[in-house]
Amino acid sequence: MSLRSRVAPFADRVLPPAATLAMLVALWCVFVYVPNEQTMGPVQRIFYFHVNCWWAAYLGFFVAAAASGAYLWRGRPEHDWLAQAGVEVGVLFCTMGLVTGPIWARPIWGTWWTWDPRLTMAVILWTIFSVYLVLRSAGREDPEITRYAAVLAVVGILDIPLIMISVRLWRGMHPSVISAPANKGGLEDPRMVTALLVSLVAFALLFVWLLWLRYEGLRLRSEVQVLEDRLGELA
Amino acid sequence: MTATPDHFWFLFSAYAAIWLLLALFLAHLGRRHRVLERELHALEERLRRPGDGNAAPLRE
Repeated sequence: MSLRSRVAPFADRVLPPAATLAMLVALWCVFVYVPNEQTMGPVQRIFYFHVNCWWAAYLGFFVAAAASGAYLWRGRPEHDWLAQAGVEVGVLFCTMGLVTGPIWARPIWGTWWTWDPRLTMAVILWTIFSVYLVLRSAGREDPEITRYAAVLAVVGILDIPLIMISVRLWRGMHPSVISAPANKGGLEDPRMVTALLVSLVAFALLFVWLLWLRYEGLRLRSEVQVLEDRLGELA
Repeated sequence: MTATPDHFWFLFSAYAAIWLLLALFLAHLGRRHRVLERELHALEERLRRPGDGNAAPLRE
């Protein structure tokens, strides 16, 4: 019994209700359970999903980079499907992060966007992996394009550590809430930490579910292509 | 900072944007899935055609 056939029943039956339930609990935490933050008021509640959008995006790009590295090494199509699925889901969450950030920034900073180092690096990250998707879309199954895209995914994640350290390195204005103490812009109430962690679980489940759906789609696409080719040969 | 109606509007917009993007992505996945289903049905039809006799060797 292959790993896929052991994982499939769990992924198809357990992940959708688990992700939905976790997301409902996360929404309850964000809108009912946590108190208003003292400085920013209700707008701060965007933070719980905004941060997790970015963590899910990073996870997608890390999966894509690891699978791309494995593809470049072993050349197995399963690794390529996983890489492509990781990038697609990663770009989705990255887009969510890039959209929710300015919505938070407008009432707090007084502007939708500023070329702060972290924001700039985040846009670069989105661009790198969007280029990956354009390459894959234009190159179809061309093995050379697939290899170029794999190299791009491996190199592309080098931007993530830069995003993480950019606030300290270039003294940007983006807040670093997670690493800051409670009295210096960090989470001031334990309920805020709980809401963040519950949202993290919800986003992790949603991420795994979407990754699985996309991986299965790419696997089936490839199987159909093989069958069509063989029918063509037999005709 | 006092919460103004504006602040609730920004909060609503952020969460609406997340759900809208997620819905678009799922719709995109659904569309791809339907295309794949159509292709599978077309393949099945080709296999069922009398005289083809190629059902067995398709899978290794």
